[in-house]
Amino acid sequence: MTNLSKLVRDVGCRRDLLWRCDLGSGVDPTSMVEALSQQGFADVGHTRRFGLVVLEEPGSGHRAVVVLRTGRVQLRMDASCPHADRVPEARRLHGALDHLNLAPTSAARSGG
Amino acid sequence: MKFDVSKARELLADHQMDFLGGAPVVIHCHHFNLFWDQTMDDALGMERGIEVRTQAAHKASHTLLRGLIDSFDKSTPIERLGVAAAIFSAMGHGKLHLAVGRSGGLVRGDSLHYGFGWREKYGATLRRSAAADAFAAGFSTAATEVAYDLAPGSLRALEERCIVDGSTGCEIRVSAGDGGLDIGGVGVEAAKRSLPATFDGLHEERIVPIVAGLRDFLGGVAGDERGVIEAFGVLVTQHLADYYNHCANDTMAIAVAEKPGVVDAYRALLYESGIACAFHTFGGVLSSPEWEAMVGAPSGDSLEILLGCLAQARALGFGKWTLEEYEPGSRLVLSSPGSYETLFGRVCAPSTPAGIFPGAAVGMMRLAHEVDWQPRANISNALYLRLAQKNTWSVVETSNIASGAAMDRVVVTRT
Repeated sequence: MTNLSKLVRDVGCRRDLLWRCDLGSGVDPTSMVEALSQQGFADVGHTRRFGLVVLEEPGSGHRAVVVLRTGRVQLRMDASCPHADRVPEARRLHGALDHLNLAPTSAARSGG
Repeated sequence: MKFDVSKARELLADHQMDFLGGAPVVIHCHHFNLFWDQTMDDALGMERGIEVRTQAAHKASHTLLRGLIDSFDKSTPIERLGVAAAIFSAMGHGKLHLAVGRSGGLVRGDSLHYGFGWREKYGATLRRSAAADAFAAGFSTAATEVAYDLAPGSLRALEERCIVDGSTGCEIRVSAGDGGLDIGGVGVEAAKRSLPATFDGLHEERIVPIVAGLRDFLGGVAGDERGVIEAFGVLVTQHLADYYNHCANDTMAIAVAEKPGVVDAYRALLYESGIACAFHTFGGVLSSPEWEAMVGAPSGDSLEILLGCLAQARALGFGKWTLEEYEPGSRLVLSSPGSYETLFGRVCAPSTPAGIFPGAAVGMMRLAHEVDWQPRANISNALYLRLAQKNTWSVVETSNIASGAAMDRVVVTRT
């Protein structure tokens, strides 16, 4: 099972730094935040009260930005990542997020 | 050095204008900033443009840093230079390493906003030899003068190396100046005395909560470890409003005196800078995950887009822009008890040209009517250029507080 839509360049993408994908409608965005936190991603945005969680991957510095109300996910490549590596790195991160074991939304759980 | 600048901030809430250390500040992105600097260079030529921009930064930064130093009671040059470098980074302009004494010295810059932004936006397709960071040069000059209690104009600066030409870093040389620089500008007390009475417009009940949310969010935004603010899909700066104002006024004075043939084109470019600001900044914010989280993804309803833009203008410190009249598809009237440009005109120099309010009004109509927001908008330079060629909207500025009127007012109609 996959969690995410296809990876595309996001609005405002400069030189392959910003990417977008969306969680499937039956997947709970909060469960992605929890799963990434368990994998060592750090909450660096301190914006959860705005409904936005910014999680940084250990080692790479790449970030996954999760919109809790809609399930939009923006991948932000670390600016120090060499240009030639940005596309493969975005695909790698997308793949990793895509195969997380995530919980369904309550509506999906109840069959709604 | 990290320090809390909140006690040096002041918001004139009735007019949605922000001050830091007594100096007016606004938020602008790299698209606008690069366009703005290019406009000065187009009017005056690169060499003269750099001179004017550096001096504008010098004057505006002197006001800011003097105010901050007084607020924080910093007495030694090292402490003061530390405050200057910290505030520069916090505002999203990059990192400065100020190795300077009272007669000048060398400043190393990392991730400086203009050079970094230019390389990010144009580096893959264009080549450039002229240094891009006049703002950092002027700021460094002011920082050194304020650190050593020197009179404005005692020093000058020039960026000798810049990453736009492939250099690995930026270097700014600070050296003896000609003296006697009149820094002018708008202070917070002058603003309070001069601004006309505020007023509300249509749909305030929808705009005000968005402004509050955006201001709350922006209050927590500051430069990262590089001194860079990446948010809303753009490189963001908190900037000195009087940097733009001194640039606009000084360039116009030179153009009128020495190059009258460029005055009309210069005015047109200032107006275009307002369109670029609305399209890239407002459009970028509306398309961002930050906006989607706080407000929701734009449905594409034209009124919703316009109100979102007006809320942004307020939260970014441009002024209390209000909706006076709106006929979807045909006519927009905006009014405001002042913008950061016209306030400068009212306080300092009435002939200062102002492009942000009329230009942004046109940019907002483009966003509201000519961008497909569903399923998602494609705010890009290619779309910006395509809409510029169509040129669907025209604008008339019907009043302006710089000339003594009670409001700024613009009317946009279909061409």
